[in-house]
Amino acid sequence: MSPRFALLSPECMRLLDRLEIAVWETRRGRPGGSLPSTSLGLGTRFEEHRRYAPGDDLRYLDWNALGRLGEPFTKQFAREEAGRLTLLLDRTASMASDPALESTARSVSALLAYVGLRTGYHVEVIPLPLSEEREHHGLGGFFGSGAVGELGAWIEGVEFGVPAPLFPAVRQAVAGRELGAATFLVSDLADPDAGERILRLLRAHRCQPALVQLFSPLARDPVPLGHRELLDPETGGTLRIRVTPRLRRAFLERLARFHERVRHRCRALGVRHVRLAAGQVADRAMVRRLREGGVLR
Amino acid sequence: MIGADIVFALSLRRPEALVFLVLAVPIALAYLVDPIRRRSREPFLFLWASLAAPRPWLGRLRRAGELALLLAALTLLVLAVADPGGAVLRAPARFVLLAVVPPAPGAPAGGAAASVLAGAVGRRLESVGPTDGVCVVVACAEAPRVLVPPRRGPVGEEALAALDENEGPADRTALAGLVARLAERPGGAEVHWIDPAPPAGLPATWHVHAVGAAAPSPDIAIVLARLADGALVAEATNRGPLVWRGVLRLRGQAAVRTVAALAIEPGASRRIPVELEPGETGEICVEAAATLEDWPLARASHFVPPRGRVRVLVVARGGRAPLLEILLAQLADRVDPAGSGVADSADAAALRRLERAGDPYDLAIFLEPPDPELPVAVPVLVFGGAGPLGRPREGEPARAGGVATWQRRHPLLSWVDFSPVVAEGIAPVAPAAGVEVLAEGPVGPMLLYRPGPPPRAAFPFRLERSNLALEWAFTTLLSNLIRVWGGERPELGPCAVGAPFPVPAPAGPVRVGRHGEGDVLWQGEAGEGFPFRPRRAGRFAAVTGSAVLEACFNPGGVDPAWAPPAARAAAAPVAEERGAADWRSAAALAVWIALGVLLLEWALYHRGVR
Repeated sequence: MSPRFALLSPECMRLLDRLEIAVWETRRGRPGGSLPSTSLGLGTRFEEHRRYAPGDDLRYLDWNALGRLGEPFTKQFAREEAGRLTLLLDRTASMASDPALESTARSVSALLAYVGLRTGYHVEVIPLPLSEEREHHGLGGFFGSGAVGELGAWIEGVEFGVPAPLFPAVRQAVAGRELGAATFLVSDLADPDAGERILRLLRAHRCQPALVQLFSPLARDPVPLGHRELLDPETGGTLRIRVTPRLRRAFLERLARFHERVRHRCRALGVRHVRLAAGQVADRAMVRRLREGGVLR
Repeated sequence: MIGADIVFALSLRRPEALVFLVLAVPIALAYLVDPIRRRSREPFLFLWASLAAPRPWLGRLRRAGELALLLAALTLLVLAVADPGGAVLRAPARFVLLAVVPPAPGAPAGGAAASVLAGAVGRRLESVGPTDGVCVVVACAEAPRVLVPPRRGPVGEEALAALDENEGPADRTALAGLVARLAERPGGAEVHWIDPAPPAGLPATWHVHAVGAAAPSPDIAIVLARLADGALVAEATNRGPLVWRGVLRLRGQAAVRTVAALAIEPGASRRIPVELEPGETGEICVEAAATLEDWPLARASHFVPPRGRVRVLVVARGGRAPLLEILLAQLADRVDPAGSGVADSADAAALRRLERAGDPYDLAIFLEPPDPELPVAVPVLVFGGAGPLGRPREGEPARAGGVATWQRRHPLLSWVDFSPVVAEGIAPVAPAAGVEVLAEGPVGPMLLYRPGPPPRAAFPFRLERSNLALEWAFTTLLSNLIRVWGGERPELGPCAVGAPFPVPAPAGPVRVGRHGEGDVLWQGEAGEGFPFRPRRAGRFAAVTGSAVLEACFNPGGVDPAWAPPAARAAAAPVAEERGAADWRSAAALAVWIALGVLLLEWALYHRGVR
């Protein structure tokens, strides 16, 4: 029986229970492809003590504790290289321009986080830009199936619509932080250089970045004709322009080229790329899209 | 016009339409609020920015321009609906020369004439615009005095003072020479010669004002008109620069008598009712003169019809004229059967009743020539001889024949066709002096006519010895006789807008124009159809070459909205009628086109922001 998760339907969770995060490259650059081990004791990072059980490797017996307490305890280590999953959730103002974008961002984040938790990942969700309150509360720390409900609530509590540009937010979030082997950026990528700098920044952290790019169908029906004052919700910049039918067609062509460029840069940088339409809920279709994009398997 | 300032006057026929200007408030508010509605959040602003360079200041200017254009269109539309009477932009006169000849001190009524002249000069100076140049040259006994004004006020005072200082006879020759030299300046000059007795031979381009003397003046005009209720009014208009003082006198068949003594301001009109004697009829004339005995300065004539229908007396041997009685009965709308009758030619008592016009008969028809000594004051139609209208040609026998030619345009022969008429026993006659031959046959005159008074017409053959009474021509002729002699003027019939109009002049060249305006709209011979088709009802004047007849033929009586030209120019200068109408039409069309373009642009590009 799957634990309760408000963002995912039971049916979807049953479907996800059979899937796992696809990792095809280890932290050290070796080709991977296998599910990272969830057993303790093989890692390098100390996690906890537990009572010694027959058959445990004596190399991990804590002799100091045995001497002081008189009882045998075994040290548990986590495999942090393969067991961490980072979700970079874009919550800038552009993501709030369409309510469907926001809901889809929550859904896909919950879906990936659920799969991560179920398969033994340490899941951390980093809002972009960072929220001090959120960071203090739970950033970087969900583990185990028991944390599914808590993580879902945490994702639901993320507030969108922060007027800040995306790239500085990513740079601030990853500065001095060690990203998980599986790192997902959930964003519309409304960025002038088509996410080039962001993707390179993530690649520099030697993680396995994947881009889940959301796009709003409203973008295909841009601003009405006539004299308009366009406002960039992230930078606050304005542009007075007279929108004509010809200009609208040119904009749509530019938008298509922009998305093509994103896809091309992702392939060149070795970033998995999945495009999801805003308004899509966490269901079988979304799972299929993620599987086709090589994110799940 | 002398010294015209730049005048822009606008009058509105429907000023209540200005209420629609309040629409400017919501329009302006909509433009002020609209930028808020038009702000759009656009995540991919960088893509838009790469497509078009931002021009915020130009965009703001364009919006202001749109608003200004829309408000201007609204204003023009409201003005078009308000129907402006017109606007005139008069070009300023470049240079005005006033040549003033004061009256000699010893001249009759010299003092009064000098004061009148001073008033004329003063008004001329007042009418000179502030940007115009003006120069006053006063004739003196020695060299003319030239007053070049630095400002108008002192010059006026100097000019008036110069008139008082004149001590001897004015040298007009020296004045004319000096003025001619002064007028030879670049751009020319507008010369006004103000003189009690202007000399002959002045240049035609100069404006000559004979003021201060009782000389004939073209500045006074009289119009006689019959109102819708039948009352007769005389309207005198002062077109001159001075106050006109004089009398209007009525000249008719009765004695000359004064109608009114008037003082009319320049450009103003006075309308005086003309009271006729009881039963007075026929042609009357109202004249304007300085005094009751002076020569007329202007004149207007009118034919006063008798009251009611025409009463006809037929004079025949034995007192029997059954054929004429039948024919007259067909004209029941014009002939009063109760007042008409048939008398025996030997009935002296009945014939004596024709001694006074209109009492009790308006028209007499003699079937045989009457006694030449018979006193007849009513219009008469005679058969069987010319009577006083001609004398028989001795030695020529009476002959038979038809009518070869006749004056088709004569009012008496309007619509009369004499071609089938034949007669026998036509007496050869020679018309007397002043008698017109309206119809002529192979043997000589067939119809003689003398306008009167009293008017007479004569056929030199007997009615029963021709087929005239059996033809429509006779009925038509009788109708014309009764209509014209009985007081109706066919030329005063109704004139619909756009319809041709007959000109009320007996003979000679006629000029027709709008009353009170100098433009000639039509020029031709009397009796021709009036080809001008006025765009609106109004007063028109027909002026003959003798300058005696100035008739107003307004079918509905005097136009109550009519105003003297000067007053109209001051209140609302009216441009040329057709041009003004075209201007309004073009302006309205332009406004509608502009509004259409704006609405289309709005529908295409200014839909609501989602």
